[in-house]
Amino acid sequence: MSGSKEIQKETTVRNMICGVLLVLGLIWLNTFVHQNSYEGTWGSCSFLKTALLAAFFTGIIYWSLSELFFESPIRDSTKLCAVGTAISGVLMLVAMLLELGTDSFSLYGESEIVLWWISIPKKYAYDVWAIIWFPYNINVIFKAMRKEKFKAESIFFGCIAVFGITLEGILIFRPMANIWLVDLMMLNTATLALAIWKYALSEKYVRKENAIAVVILYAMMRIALLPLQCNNWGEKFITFIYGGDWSELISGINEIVAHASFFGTSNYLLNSEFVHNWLANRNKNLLQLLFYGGWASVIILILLFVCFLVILVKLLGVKNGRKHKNWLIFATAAVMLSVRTVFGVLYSFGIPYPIVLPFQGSSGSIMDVMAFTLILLGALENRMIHRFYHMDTAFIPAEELLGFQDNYIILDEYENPYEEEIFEDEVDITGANSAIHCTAEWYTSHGREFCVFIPHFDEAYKKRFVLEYVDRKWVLPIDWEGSIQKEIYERHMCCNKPNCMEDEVEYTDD
Amino acid sequence: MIKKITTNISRIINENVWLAVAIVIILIAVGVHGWKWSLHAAGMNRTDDSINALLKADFQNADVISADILVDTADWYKKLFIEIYHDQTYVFDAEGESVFGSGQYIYDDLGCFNYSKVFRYANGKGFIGYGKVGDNGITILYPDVFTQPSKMLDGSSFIYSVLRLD
Repeated sequence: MSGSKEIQKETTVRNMICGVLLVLGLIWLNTFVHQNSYEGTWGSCSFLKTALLAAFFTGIIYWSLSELFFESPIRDSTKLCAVGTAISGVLMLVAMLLELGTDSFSLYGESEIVLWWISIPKKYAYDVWAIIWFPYNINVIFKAMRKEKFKAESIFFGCIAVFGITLEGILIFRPMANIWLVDLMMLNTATLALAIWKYALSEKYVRKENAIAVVILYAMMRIALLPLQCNNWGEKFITFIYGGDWSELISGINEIVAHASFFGTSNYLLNSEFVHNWLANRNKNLLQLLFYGGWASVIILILLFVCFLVILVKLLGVKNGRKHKNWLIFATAAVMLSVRTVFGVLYSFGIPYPIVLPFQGSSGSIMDVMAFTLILLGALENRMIHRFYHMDTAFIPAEELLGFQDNYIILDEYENPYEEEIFEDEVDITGANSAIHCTAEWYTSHGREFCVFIPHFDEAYKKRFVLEYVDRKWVLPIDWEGSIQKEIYERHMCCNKPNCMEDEVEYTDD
Repeated sequence: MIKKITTNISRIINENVWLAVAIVIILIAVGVHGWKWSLHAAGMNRTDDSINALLKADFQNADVISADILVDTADWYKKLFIEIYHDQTYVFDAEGESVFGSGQYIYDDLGCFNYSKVFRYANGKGFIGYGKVGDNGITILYPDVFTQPSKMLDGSSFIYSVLRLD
């Protein structure tokens, strides 16, 4: 059991390392393509530095906001969620008034969000909204609906709140190109489907068919709303989704695909002025690679993308999805990167879904790094959850560390005999060979007093043991096996539950 | 055996904080050096057949723009300066006279503003050129010798079809 647990832990770390290495490889490719196919000077570490900064600040911001994410939301009922929607609706009306009345404020009409002297391009805000803000709100709404056992009234208020947050996204990102709006529709629908899987499908009060029907209805509603969002419909689907001259694009793709060699650059491509012009400054890194390295390197890249998708799923920890508090955010980030990977590859070969490969391009790669950093943080939280569920195996007999003695001398931090609990007590226990520094947690059961000690040295990392306090002496627990042991373990686990785990559902009384 | 060695190494590292710090610094230094070296090595193999090098060769071979035009107008281009109003551009000569305006910025395939600040302009005779706004003023990428604008395709703009002035 312990062995399998260790293997699982190592696998998570290995997946994280593999994921990071893959991302670094993709950033390397992006740098190489920019240096060789783009005009201007591109430093060897320019994209790497940007990626590291983006990862660092994502970590810092997540860490500073984690209290907000982990604490119980203020909107803990569907009625409060609906009130929240009403308030945000009023604020958005005020924003509209400001936009109509002044030149220094814009939320809806431009491709930048203008707040007086600050101007943020919406393409930067898009990912933050789609993979953090929308899932966070959906999480709050579904948590409230589950608490109310998905009653008709709570579903009604929940739907209002979901519709409200959906409209918010549609209104803010409306001026962007059609592909962004289609992408937003896909991501939002995926988030809703994941939320239903997480909160509704496991509940006995919910009929599975109805839950699935809700996802389908939502997707249909989003498709139906597309005409209100997209300005340029064009004559056919390709004009709608791409906007430019599709035949020109396809002719370039066909030219490169048809004349690429298996290894290296083919002579035809080396001498084709059309191909040189077509590839210059063009954000088609798969085709750039086809030009430089031939089919062999493209096949390797596609295999690496497959590995990347597998690693994303593993890091996501679907098994812990229902127990993980912010799992929806991480899952939506993983969906976003997966969509970009799959459709980015297909688009490179002429499938009309114009989306850039992840970690390629200039500004978009910052957002991809941000999403990947979130997934890594989620994987770290998954490890904590995994460790929590195996905490009972971390308990070892006290004599294993301290040696067998009739009683043990324990001193508090002032070197007085340790006799009562204060707060987060740190103590020194004198064992057979040496003193062990530990943290102590007290538990009472059946009129008896026990203490769980967590040692502070590497050999006993995350291990813990129990001593009993009897007649002012610390001894090995007597008659320890059985219900008392189980109770102490459970209570200790309950007290040491990670913040990132979902709380027990407290259903609202009828 | 390998596991034992790994365990021993990690134990030694865990017990010596400064050793861990030194190892991390060395790993970062080696990593950065490897990164730069690999890009340099890959780029060296591409000295003559990178897209940039090939484009340059194509440009010279095609002789689209005669050297005379470039020499005659080089000084004049250096004296140009640019003013930006919203997303429109105006270029003025040394005397402050508007040479052209309003010009257009190039938009990318997603309809977003291109922050590389490449713009298209036309002179008084209607011939079209391309420039770029940099930190130190403007650079004329292609002089105003084209009779037709470039075709906007996916990604950044480029001159797809050029017609000679003469």
